[in-house]
Amino acid sequence: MNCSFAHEWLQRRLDGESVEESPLWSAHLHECPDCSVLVEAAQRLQQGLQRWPDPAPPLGLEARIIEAVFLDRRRRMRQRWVMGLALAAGIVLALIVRFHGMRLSPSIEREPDESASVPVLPKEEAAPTLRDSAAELGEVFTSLTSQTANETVEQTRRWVSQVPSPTLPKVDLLSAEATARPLREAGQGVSEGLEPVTNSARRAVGLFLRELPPMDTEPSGL
Amino acid sequence: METWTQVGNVNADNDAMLVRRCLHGDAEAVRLLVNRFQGDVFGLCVRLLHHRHDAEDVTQEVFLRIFRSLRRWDSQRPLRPWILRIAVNRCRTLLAKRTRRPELVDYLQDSVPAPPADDSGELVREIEAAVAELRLEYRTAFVLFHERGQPYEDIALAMDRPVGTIKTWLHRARLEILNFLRRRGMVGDGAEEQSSARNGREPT
Repeated sequence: MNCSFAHEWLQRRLDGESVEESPLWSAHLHECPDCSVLVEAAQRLQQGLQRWPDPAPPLGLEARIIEAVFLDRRRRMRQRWVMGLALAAGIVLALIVRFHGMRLSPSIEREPDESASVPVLPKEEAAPTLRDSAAELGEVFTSLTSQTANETVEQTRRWVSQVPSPTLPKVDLLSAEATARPLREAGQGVSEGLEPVTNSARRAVGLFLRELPPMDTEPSGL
Repeated sequence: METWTQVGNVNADNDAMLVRRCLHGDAEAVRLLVNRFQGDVFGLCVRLLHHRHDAEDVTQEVFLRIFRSLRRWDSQRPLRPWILRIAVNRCRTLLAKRTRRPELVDYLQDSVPAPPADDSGELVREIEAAVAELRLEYRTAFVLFHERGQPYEDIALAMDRPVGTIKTWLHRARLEILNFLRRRGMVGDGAEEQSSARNGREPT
């Protein structure tokens, strides 16, 4: 038996395995003072570990942990609600600005009815309502979008006119049609898939508009 | 006689059921889970941090993290090593912060409960000092094995290392502690001298 084997034996004993003390082992300990001291130290370690006090948790820690866990759970749930509501509000607002603005823009530009018996005050004096602001914002957005689109189309047209028309190879229209069919079907699928989303958004805007106070048809103070 | 696997399966089933109840918001299950594991978590934190107040704070933080990520626990694996792994990671993080701000730390302050005041007290204090000198990986493996009674496989899961590595770490930890005890005169003639000095008589 050598020292490394003795160390291995010692480790197995400290692992809790029941290892026999063979005569070879005893002989090695007798002639190797290092291993002998190590074994003695291991015995002392085992003695000490038996008396090693377990650091018991203090009284009240369990209650504090449970309280903290429930507080944390409530706080996280509240955060989730607030975030969800904020997200929903943001979406609804964006939809209002987009759809409601578009819907109201013609009525804003309409001339006042001449036959109306009630005189209408100049626009500067009327306080703008939420509906007016939304409409105005929508109008600006729409006009900007349409302006940008027109400019892009115009620019593309100019570029296309400058490009020399290449001689295109003859295309088999039947095979082109067959190739385009999956694309068309995919497009149709996407638009069908988006339909519920569009409907939901439309319903949400409708509900929101129903909640808005009615527009003042008569100027105040008259 | 129950085999280790049978016992493990029963525990795993209990753990899975307990976790399911916790996820459904059962307050009693939350209390049970905290009660079942707080001793292990707190004990490990005390040994790794050497500071009871820090250990209390970290234990609380560990349980918050456990309940936040309970959904991510793989019910095919044992729950205890998963919990101990969170505890080990939190202790490691705190110790890293301490290393960055060493002036704020008092390792000896209010560390662990005082050992008994008889002859064995000295030995226990020396073992504690030896454990405190170990590097974190060795210390964690040693405490999980010898104090928390965890098998090699569970320590490997808790420390996210192969079983072979854990065995190596534990064996080295033991050798370092044994050598420490030798150097401190807790073995052989040195131990007798120390004991005599305590008792106020000459060694024989």
